[in-house]
Amino acid sequence: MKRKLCLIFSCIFILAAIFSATVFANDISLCNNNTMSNFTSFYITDTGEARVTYEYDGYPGITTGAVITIVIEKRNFLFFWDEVVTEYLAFPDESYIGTYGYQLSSKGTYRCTVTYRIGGTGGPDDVLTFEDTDTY
Amino acid sequence: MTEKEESGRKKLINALKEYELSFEEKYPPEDIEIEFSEQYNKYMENLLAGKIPAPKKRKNRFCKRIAACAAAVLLVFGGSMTVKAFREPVTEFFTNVYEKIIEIFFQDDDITKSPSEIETVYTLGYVPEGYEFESFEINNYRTMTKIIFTNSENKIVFSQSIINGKSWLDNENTDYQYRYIGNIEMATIEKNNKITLFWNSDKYTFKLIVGIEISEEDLAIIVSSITEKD
Repeated sequence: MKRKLCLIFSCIFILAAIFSATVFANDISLCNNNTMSNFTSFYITDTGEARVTYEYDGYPGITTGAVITIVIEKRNFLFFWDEVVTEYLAFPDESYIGTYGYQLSSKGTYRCTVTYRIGGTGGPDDVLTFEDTDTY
Repeated sequence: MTEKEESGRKKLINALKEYELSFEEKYPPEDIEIEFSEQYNKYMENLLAGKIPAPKKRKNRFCKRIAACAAAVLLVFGGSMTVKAFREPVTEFFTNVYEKIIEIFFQDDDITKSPSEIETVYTLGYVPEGYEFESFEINNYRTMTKIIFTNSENKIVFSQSIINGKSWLDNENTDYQYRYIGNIEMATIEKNNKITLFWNSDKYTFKLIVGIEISEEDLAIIVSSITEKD
């Protein structure tokens, strides 16, 4: 029994290592055809409101729009996160600045993942992923 | 097989046979006697009689488990540090330079000291001739502003945001570099006839996007003209 438990935990650790390596590999394999710059911010206020700021600037005549996905998760145990809310936003603009707010119902550590999929004539869609955590 | 090869093969077989014979003559099997020590014989007698319990491997296994867990933990945390540890420090902001993007961020201490909302809004005090004010935007959380000036063909976009966030600049086929305008160090890129400049104060970050038709002199004047908005 102990041997099985040991094997299971070893597998979990190894999978976590592979997962983290994959995340960073994604970071450095982004394509960037249609996006000049962007800005993202995530923090939780004292009253428990999760606030996300998103902004992107495209290239004139190239960038045609963006789909932004915001996911807020709450830490459950170690590497495990429970999804709290997911929001999909679409903008047919060359550049955009916006905010998203969500009132959290309980205290804890929260993770926000904002994924930009920015399209245009510069090439395949750019996929940029922002991730940050904050505690309430 | 050629005759020469066949001859060589026979010679080799003979040599091996000869060696085997000479080896057996030198060390006849019946002459080899193995003598065990008294201590060993006693131990074996006791072992066969069941007087000695089987050796415990539990302790050894436990050590292996600890070592495996430690290795896994090192793999997890070591793996998570490899890319993130590569940082190129500049005056106040930090950058992670990837193949396609430049990630700009600040240390936690700097974030803690900075305001979570924009308290003072800045604007450009000077724009080149022909440019006119088009729009001003501030989001409802007061975390970012954007001011746009346009002429008939181009735009000048000036953005201000809080320090608690991450900015990304395009790094694919861009002329990315650090440069000074006055005494301000900036990260700059140039692509598709646009120049983007990024810099910061103690409280805010600033981003300026202009067309390449703006001269270096005008660019310096624009940056140094930043002033509080009415």
